[in-house]
Amino acid sequence: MSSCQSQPNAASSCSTGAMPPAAPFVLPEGATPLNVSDAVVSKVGAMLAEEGDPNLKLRIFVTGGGCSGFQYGFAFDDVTKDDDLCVEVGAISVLVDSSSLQYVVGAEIDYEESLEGSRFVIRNPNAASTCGCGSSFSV
Amino acid sequence: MSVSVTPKAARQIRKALDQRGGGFGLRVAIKTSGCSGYAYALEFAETPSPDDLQFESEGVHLLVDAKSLPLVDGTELDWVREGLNEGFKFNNPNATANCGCGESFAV
Repeated sequence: MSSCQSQPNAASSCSTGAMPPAAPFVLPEGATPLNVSDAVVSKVGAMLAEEGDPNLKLRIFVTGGGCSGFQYGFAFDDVTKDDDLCVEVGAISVLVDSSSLQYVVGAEIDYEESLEGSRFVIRNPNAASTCGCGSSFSV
Repeated sequence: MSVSVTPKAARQIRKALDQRGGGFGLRVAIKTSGCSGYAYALEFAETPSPDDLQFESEGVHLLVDAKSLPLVDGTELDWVREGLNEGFKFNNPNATANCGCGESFAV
C-alpha cells in the first residue's frame, strides 16, 4: 500500500512497508500537501546523481528553534517512515513526517541561487512571521 | 581597519565574477534591517566610489563604504555548506548576537 500522493508528471513508486498508524494530523480533503518548484526538482535531481543513490528522497521537517520559534530543515533520507507523506514530483520524491506536515501544509518549496548563496526555501502560508534570513546581527 | 575572506570565499567570489562575465570585486555593505538590527548586503562592484575603502584578500578585491566599515571591521567572510544549503557567512567580531539564519517562522 502506497502512501504517496502523486503530482502531475509523477514518476512512480515511493512506498512504505506498512500501513500508516493513526496519524495526529490528517491532511484536509482536497488540500495540496506541498507545491514543489521545478528548481527544486532539477537541483535535487542533480544532487542525487552526484550522490549516486537512487533511493534518496528529500526530507523536509520542522523543529523548534530559530528566532521565531520554529525552523525548517532539509536533508536527504533513504528511509520512508510510516507516518511520512511522500510527494513525487518529476523524478524526485519529497518526504514530510506528519507532525511537521501540519506546519507546512500547502507551502511552496523552492530553491534559490544568488550571490549570497544557494538554498532551499519554504514559502509557507501557515507562517505568521518569518525571520528575514539570517544575515542579521546586532552590535 | 580591514575585512578579509577565507580561501573558500575567495574561490566562490572568483567563480561568481566569472559567471557574471567579470567585475572589479565584491562590495560588502550594511543595511539597517533584519531581526537583529543590521543586515549584510553583498553585491558585485564595478568601480570604487570616493567614500569606499578598498581591501585585497586572497587575491580578490573588497569594497566597503566608510559608513559601513566600523560595523564590519575585522570581519572574515567565509563560504560554508550547512546541510543542503551553502552561502557566505560573516564572522564579524563586532556582532554580539546573530540571527540563526533565517529558516525560522512563527505560527
